[in-house]
Amino acid sequence: MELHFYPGVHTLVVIKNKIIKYRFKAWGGPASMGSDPRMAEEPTWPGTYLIHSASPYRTPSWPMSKITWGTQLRDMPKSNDVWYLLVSGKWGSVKNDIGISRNNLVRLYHKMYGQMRVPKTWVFNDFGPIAIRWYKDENKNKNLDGNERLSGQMFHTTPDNEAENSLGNPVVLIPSHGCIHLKPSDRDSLFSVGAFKPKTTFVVHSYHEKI
Amino acid sequence: MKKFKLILFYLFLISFSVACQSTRAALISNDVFDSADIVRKTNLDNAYLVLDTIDKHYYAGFTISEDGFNHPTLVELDKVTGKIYTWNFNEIISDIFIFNNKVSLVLDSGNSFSLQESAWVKNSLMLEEQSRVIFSNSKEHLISCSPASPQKSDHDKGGCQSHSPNWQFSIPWLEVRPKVCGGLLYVVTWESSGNRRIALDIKSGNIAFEKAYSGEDICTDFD
Repeated sequence: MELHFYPGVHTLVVIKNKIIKYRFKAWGGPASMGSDPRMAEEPTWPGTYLIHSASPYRTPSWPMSKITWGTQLRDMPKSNDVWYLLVSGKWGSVKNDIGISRNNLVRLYHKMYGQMRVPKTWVFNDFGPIAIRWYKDENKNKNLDGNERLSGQMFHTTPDNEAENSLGNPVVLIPSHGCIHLKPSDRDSLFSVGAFKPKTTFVVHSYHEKI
Repeated sequence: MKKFKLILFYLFLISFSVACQSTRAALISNDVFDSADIVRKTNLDNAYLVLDTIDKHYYAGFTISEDGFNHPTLVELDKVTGKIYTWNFNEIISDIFIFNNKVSLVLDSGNSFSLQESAWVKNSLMLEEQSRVIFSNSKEHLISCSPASPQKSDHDKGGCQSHSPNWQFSIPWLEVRPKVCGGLLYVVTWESSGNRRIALDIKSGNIAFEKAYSGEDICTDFD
């Protein structure tokens, strides 16, 4: 089984025995570098890779992604804060740790789910509940080793798409900063057909290539 | 009881000092305080902004229903009489401020209102979504800034706008609220290449100075 992404036509295909078995809509980065000052958008880099792993993702690069998706929350309205459960079992302050106050969380949740409330769990991580990572297997031994590094680009869903999916609304994919955006239901389908198994070959084609 | 009163008094001092220093509020409880330190009950469960005028406090926040829904609410407390007015809104209140000598507010949509005889009357002034009013004088001059989205997938980069004189400046900021000091608008940017502290001339919107930001007070003089 192989995965092939055609960024110019926003399509991801699963190939088995040289036949396209499944086809999904997926959005990568722009064809050329963007101008977002927070982090410039970049193309999803063409190449042949191997799928490495799938797990929740955190990064300090984006404030909402400093907290793992699904982390338990505790509403603290009197101090205009929301607490989140730390791995240690103690509670951290969203306001102090990521600089987002309670009213801003209510605002974001309302934008996504149409309800002015603090959710019970963190549903704001920019990479969704799970990110699927890949790497370039330079020495062709099917292991991440030597100077090989996981790509900073990955498959993931977005919080807005997760909200649309959970509300039963149409899921509208948008261009990424270089990652590959999937619909939540397609991500689940890809897992169920085994497309994200470690060591699966994954090819990113160039932007002008058609299927 | 005496100890309880003393605690309440200290809590009041803390909340009052916060109110005087900035427009961000931390409500200790559902109670607010008039000038005689008498506790006045409000139905606010949360407050995130306070505007302190000569005779009144205005608190923007939420009342929270039992099922967890937040209802945007504004409370006016008369410091002398202790009388409380409450208004409910369908949108989140982005900021409260004085404009043209009237208490005014802007909702998340950018629509602005002024308080006239206990009613909020819509202004012709339309601001950007989620605007914070950074500066306004007794004339027409008003400067507002809207933050960049904290979300990666939302490409709204934010910026600052001036009304009368009119100018706008696209600039991503998030955590540090912009501030006007000595005729300059100071903004701390949010950029992957490193945050900068930029000072804009409030009359022209042109950059007066800029420097790498390392956590100093936003209004610190440039070297």
